Amino acid sequence: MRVQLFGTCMIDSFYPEVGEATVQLLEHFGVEVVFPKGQTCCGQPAFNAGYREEARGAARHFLSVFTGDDPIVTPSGSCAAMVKHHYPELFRDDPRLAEKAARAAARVFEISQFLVGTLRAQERSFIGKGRITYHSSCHLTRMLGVREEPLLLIAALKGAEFVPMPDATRCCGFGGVFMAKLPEISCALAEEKADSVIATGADTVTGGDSACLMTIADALKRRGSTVKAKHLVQLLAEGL
Amino acid sequence: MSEEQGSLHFRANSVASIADESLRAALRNAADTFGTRRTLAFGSVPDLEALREKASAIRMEVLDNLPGYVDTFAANAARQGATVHRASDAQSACDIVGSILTGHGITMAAKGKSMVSEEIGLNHHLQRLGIEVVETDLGEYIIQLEGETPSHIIVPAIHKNRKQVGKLFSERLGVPYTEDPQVLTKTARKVMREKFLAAKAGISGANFAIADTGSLVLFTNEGNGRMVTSLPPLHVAVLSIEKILPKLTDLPTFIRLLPRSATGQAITSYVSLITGTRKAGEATGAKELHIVLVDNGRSSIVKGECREMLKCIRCGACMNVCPVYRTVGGHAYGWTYPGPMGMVLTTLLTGMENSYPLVDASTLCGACVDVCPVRIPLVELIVKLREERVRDGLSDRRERIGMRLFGAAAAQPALFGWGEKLSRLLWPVIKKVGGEKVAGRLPEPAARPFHRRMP
Amino acid sequence: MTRAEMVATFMEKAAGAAAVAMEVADADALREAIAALLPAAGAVYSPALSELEVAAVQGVTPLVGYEEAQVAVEEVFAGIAETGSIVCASVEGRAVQGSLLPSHHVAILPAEKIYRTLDDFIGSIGTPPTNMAIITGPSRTADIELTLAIGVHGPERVDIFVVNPPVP
Repeated sequence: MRVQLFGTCMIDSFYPEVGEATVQLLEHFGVEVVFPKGQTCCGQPAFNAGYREEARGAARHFLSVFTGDDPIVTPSGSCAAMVKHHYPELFRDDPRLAEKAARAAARVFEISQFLVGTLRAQERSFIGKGRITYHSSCHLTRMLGVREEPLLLIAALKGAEFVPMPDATRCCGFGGVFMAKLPEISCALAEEKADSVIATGADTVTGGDSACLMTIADALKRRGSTVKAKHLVQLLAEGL
Repeated sequence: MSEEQGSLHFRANSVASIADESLRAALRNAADTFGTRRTLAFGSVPDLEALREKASAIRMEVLDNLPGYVDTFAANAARQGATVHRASDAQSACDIVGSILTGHGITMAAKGKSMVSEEIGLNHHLQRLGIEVVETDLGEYIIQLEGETPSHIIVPAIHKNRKQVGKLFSERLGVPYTEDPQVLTKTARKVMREKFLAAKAGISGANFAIADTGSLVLFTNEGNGRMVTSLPPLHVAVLSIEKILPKLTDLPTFIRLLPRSATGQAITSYVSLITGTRKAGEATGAKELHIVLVDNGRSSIVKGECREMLKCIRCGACMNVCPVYRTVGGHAYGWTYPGPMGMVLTTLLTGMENSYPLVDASTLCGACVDVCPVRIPLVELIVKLREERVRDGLSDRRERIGMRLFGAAAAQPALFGWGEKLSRLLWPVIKKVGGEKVAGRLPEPAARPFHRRMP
Repeated sequence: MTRAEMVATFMEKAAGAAAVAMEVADADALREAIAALLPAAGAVYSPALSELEVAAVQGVTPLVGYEEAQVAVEEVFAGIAETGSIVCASVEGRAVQGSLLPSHHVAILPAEKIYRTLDDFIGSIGTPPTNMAIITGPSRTADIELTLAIGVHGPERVDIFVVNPPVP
């Protein structure tokens, strides 16, 4: 099996180790990983801020890079949701691109979705350790409808203890341009999230979106907490 | 928009709210309580999704034929003895109500909770005419005593705690201080009962207007809505035109959805139907009923891209789950309607040039979309409004430049790579310029980006 | 749904909304039950229009207007099992204020007036009378810190007597 990996701009710049963990995991399951050259960003920052033309430019580029029929896999619920739900809408008046967008939307998968649904990774065990809590990212959960998959994978981390977080689905406060435009509210939300994490007594908080984990990690640091924020693929890759 | 109703300096307001510990405690309590109650209440509804779909379809049917339904409602209400008035904007609505009341020599009116009356600034207008308006909903009464505006559409005084209410009552009503809600409620009952029995006019809003019977429907828990609409000989109902349901038989769907979404109750203590004026042989009902149908921009909103906003039945569920509302409270939004529905509705009603910062007040987390009983695609509408702001040239200049650069880079890998390199080089500067709460929260860029690690 | 099931659902839902719901078999039982309730309660209002109402307030003098009454005793227009609601309406010269102003509302509900669902009830009324109130439990508010307080403007106590004669 072959997949195209969409690394996302966030991971490209700030969290390359998350990209590497994704590759490691996929290859472990015998998947050939192709990294289409020239990939940039899905266009979500512009789309969410109301810059439709700029978002279309990014999307058009994405569609020119990710061609063919292989599944597109990405370690970001938010970016997967962008391709799946907003691309078809962005090109609804352009029949040629609309068709391409629909095809991309049909073959895009968030990593936990792909690991569970296609590779059945939850059926093997990984070496886990410590106490883990999970932040349920908004776009992964609400837009993609991916709720159970990350929990199944956490359960496969044998040796680790899962401690659910109250209000796991409450937004961390990132919100893309939101964090830049209303930083005070963004910080307040992140701190509230950090408090929820700390209250679980976990030593690691995990999730499916690097942007949320970044926000939470920063708030934890500001709270003086030693709890680590790690993407789920990192925990799984470490436990192979 | 009247100045008295506050400003839309959302960010400045929110900074003040965040610093207010007692406000934040009240908001957290409200969000958590409402969240739990709502979930429990819908546990007993077998096919919630089908019910939401049905409610949404009924509301869309009204919006698709709004002028027709307004006419049908008006004709049927008139047939039942009501006098129906059409107000194109806030000022004309206030003028109509004012002239009805002054024409009857009214000096004091008992009023039930009505958000549209807040929207049009009715109380101020009537006070200028020398008419005392007594808010009779407990929450509205509390904020009226304090000289504030509602901070929530269902629980207007949600920002106040029991100590603050106790202090307010003892100062204003001369009763001994207590912070027991039951005792405070009893005090309000006593004060208000005299007002009800003395008032020669009642002013109310309405949750729905039924086109095929000409009835008004009010959902209340306290009973003040019933008093206001059935005790005084003159009743003036003020409602916005989109509140119509086509048929009386559509009502059960909304009885099942509205209270559950609003307060987590299976039904409110009272669902009142008011159909025209007192008829021969009847011992109750107002002798004169005036219904003021307020447009105030809705006829044009219903033709626009954000028309679905008018499906709203004002349950407040979206604000109860909104992380931003939970953090800043209703007053930060600066006008009548707060939370996700408020961001959209305020922008539509007051115009983008007056409200453009408001459309930033969402992380687009979608919690509101999950709970909206009539399935308003709030996130989609918020993004649409942001697009409109960009089209209108009202977006922030630095943001515009940034997004143009981003757009160009995202479409050209070489440029994107340079951008990454450049920001890595300039990182100390970016950190400094970007500020503690923005750039200060980002980690250091990786020395080698991911794409250079891949074959 | 049988009558018995409908009554049972009504009782359960009414109790869930903090009303006190009781079943009585006939007018005599109703009078006894209400007599036991009244003495402590004070000035009574009743329209005394129906047979059950007349029976229920037999021996109570004087009856007062609803403005002065502490208790109202009246037969209601309908009941709704789905929500445990009673319905008061401005029909037959009745005022709806009886269920609103006195702090104690005693409702008489013949079992045959109970509808299964909101749809069954709403579907039955055609054009409603001037005032109609679907009432579920006592008057309440949670406007102070979302703490429930009973009896803001309307009754703080609602007793419902479902008159349900045994099937012969």
